[in-house]
Amino acid sequence: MFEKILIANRGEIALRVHRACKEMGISTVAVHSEADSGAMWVRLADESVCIGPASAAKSYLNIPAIIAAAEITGAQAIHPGYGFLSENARFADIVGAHGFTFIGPKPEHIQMMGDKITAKQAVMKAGIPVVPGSAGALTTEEEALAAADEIGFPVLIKAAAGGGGRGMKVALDRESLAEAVSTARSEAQAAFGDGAVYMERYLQKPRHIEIQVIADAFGNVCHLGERDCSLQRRHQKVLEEAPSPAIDAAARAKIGKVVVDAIKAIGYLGVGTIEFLYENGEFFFIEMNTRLQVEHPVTEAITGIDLVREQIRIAAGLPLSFTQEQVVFEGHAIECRINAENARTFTPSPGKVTDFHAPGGLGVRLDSAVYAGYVIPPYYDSLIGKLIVHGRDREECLARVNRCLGEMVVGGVDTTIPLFQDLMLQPDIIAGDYNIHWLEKWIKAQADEA
Amino acid sequence: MIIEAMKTMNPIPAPRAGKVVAIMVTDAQPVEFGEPLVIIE
Repeated sequence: MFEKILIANRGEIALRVHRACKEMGISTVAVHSEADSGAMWVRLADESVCIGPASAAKSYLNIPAIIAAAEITGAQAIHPGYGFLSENARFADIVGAHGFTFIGPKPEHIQMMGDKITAKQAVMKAGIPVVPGSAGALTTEEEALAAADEIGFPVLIKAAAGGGGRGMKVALDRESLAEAVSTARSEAQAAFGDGAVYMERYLQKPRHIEIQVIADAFGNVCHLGERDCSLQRRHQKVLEEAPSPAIDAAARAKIGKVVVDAIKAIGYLGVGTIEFLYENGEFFFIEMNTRLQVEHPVTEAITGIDLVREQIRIAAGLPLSFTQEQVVFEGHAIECRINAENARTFTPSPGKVTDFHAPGGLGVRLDSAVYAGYVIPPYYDSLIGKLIVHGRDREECLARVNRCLGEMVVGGVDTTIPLFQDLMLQPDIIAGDYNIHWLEKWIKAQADEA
Repeated sequence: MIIEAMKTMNPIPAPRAGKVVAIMVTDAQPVEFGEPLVIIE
């Protein structure tokens, strides 16, 4: 096992990784920018190294500075957290070339999944379902009809040269197909000088459901169930829950097996997440994240498995500490991403936290590096904490989330706590009846009302 | 003028029409709450 790990990240995730290290008896090295010198993850770490000025490009993304920090402190491994360099294949490669262990997948898998086209081809080959589409451009009406019948209605006609929604038309049935194709074609011709169009299944109200996987170096692969991350704003997840209100045990076991078989075939190492759109009982691949995710604690809450501990063990060459049969899903968990933003306008709100009180009690976890007197810098993203709540069932969990939000105090800056308090009262949220468009629609309706 | 805060770009519209007589900041310079950015006559 490693004796010392360098944590190449900041904020709550740097603290999260530090906690796993300390429980395993591993010393930690924090790296930080000039703007983060007094931060909690720096103060709690056994050693710390300043790696550059406030700008992330010159500090948390500064590969030579991070490698130098690992060398002078004698760290044996580097944990990249999420964001920053976590999905940078070149960084993973450089870490290895300097004789350190990168706590994550192999560089070739980061590379493969980082490119949309190679990722889709790789997972398709490994048996993961993708959005069905036409093989190439559609030229005749008969061709379009045949393709649509095979794909299944509704279908989306898209310009091959397209982007920005132009040259895009939906056909709900066979009757409206010819017109949709000809409109898309003339729009595409006008917008891009190329009338070539292709076809994909159109998903109307999908949910975002992702499967957590974990693989060791001995070929053992397990899935840890799903997370439902459908509540999003501008493609940013806002609230995540596990299990998904839309998935039952049979569907979970089925998609879980598909994903496990694919991950085995690919030869992946470490933790990863396969993201899907889910509609009418079908899963369609979006992308794979080759790292620990922000929302990993909801999976930890219902499985009792420490994902960072497992990551470190796998990187050290140890086998998974459990088998698929030993993975048991208990109760329900919800995570609220607390951002330093106005809860109505979403204007960023950096600055000094004058008062801070964390919620507590049974089933409550707050992952945050914030404390009273902490100054939230304006240079990095606005996530200041994650409230993760576990209950024996969804109803208990929702009530507990609501109670915690009322207890939590973050003074001096605006936070999204009031947004979550409002969400907990919405009948659709209480019923679990939402899709990837729900939150933006609801926010717009609120704004129009005010 | 765009102010970046927490990786979000915030466009700052002029509160009124007029002639820009002075620009008080340079590109990529950090600014504080209430700090004058531009003087419009």
